[in-house]
Amino acid sequence: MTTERWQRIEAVAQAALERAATQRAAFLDAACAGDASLREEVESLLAQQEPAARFMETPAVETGALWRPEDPTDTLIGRRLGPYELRQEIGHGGMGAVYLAERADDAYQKQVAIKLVKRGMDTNAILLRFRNERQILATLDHPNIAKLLDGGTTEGGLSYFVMDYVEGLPIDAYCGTHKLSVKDRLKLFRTICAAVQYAYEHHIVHRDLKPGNILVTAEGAPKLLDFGIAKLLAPEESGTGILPVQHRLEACATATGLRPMTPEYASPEQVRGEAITPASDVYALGVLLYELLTGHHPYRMETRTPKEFERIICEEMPDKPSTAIGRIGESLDAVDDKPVRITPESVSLMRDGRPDGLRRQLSGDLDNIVLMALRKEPVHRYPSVKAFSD
Amino acid sequence: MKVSPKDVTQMLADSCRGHPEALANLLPLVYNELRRLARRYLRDERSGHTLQATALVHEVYLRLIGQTDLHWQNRAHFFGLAAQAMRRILIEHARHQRAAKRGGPHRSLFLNDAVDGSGKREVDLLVLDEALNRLATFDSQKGRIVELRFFGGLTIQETAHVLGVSTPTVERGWQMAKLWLHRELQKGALHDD
Repeated sequence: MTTERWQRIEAVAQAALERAATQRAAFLDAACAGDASLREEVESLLAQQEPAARFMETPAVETGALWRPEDPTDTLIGRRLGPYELRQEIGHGGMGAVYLAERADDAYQKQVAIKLVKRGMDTNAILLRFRNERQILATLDHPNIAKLLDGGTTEGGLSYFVMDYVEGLPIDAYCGTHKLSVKDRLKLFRTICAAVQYAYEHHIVHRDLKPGNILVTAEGAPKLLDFGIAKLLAPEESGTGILPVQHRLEACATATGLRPMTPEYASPEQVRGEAITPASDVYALGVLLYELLTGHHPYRMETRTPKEFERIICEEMPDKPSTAIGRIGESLDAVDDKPVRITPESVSLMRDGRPDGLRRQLSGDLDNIVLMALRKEPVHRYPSVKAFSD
Repeated sequence: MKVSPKDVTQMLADSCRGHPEALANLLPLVYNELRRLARRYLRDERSGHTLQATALVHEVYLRLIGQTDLHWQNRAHFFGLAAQAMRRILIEHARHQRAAKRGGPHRSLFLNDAVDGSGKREVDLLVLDEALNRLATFDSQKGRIVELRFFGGLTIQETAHVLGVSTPTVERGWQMAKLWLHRELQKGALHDD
């Protein structure tokens, strides 16, 4: 862009900004007469007014941009939080990092996972969410759900909470490593459904079910992690009486809008920012089951643009699982992240069978069940995880 | 090498008068001090500080210059340098992290990481930095406004002071730069990996 051209664009845009929104079109008609590209430029800038309102208004350093330690010597490892000493980082994401920690007070030996909220992100909303998570999780007591043990605030004002440390593989990697048969995969899957159903009975929707949040221990027991974005389904009806008014308001205020989510497992209503219901978890479980059974994602998500994602998730119909196993594709290996070729032979070999046998196993009931869970409209899916699992 | 406040003041004055050598000495000084302080705050959570851009910059100022009375131009010049140093520190850090992430076991960081807890998109500093460089090629004043505001944490008034222009000029420039950068980042998001 030349300086002159920009000055022209800016002058028109500034002048338009000074006018009431209703008069802008007429003003632009006159100001950009005969220069369509000028008008396009100006309009694309004006369109940013609302979305950019809060953009960059918090200085970069205060947004937590420096939070992650710069080098291994400059870390939180070895620090103590309450009776726990942080041993190693085992994961991080948009909200913060997760550490493996150990009780350091010799009371008893116990390994735990500590989730620490990122600096600069300790806004009230997040604190509320974390408080929600603590309270919600405290009401959950299930062998297949990682339990919340403790929570608190560091002296520096960061929120953290302590959860059961689960040593295991993400479910897709587990099934792959052990070459589980379709039957065994279904069995594992139904155990997960039972845990999700249990959570529903406590009015909790997980909202972010995906292999990374479902670990399987060496003993073969699945554990659901990270109810971090769970919300009470109907706070006012929960009957626990533990949620003060502002929590309920918070729960309502965030019932829609762009949620933290993993696009591969997000349902159409999540992608569109609409209300999330138990049917959203049914959908995510549907994607998971699809993958466990076929080795393919229901959609070919080669593109990574948000718009395209939304279109595919909301409009495209997935192939029947029994058809999908005929596909040839490539994916990242769940264990070591290397690209691997997926063929009908490799898929069935991983499921302890042969392509025609696998196709027979999937076609019919399983095809229908999986596709039903993946219906675009929440009301057309199974009414509950229990119904899906049955 | 310990540099006295007097030396720093002199360097500031020289660099302000356009001596490139003075600037070349001064910027690393500000950079190092800022980096050291930021690290200390991050490590030492006990201090109970949350990292604040202006507080950091002012503390660096006190450390390097102390109570010495400065000519307002030199003072303004200092804040300009500090914002520049802050930008560099943050960008270097972001590069480090990107490199670390690549090596890490994370597969789908796309929307997951791009959206923070409050539901707004988190800014990718590296993409923003590139866009800011582009903006500066045809509108250097807006480039500086953004650097001072977003990286240096200066207010509109302080920014106007440093640049020697009126507050409304900064106000308008800031708004326009935000619109332009936001649009560029959105474009970028569509092509983002």
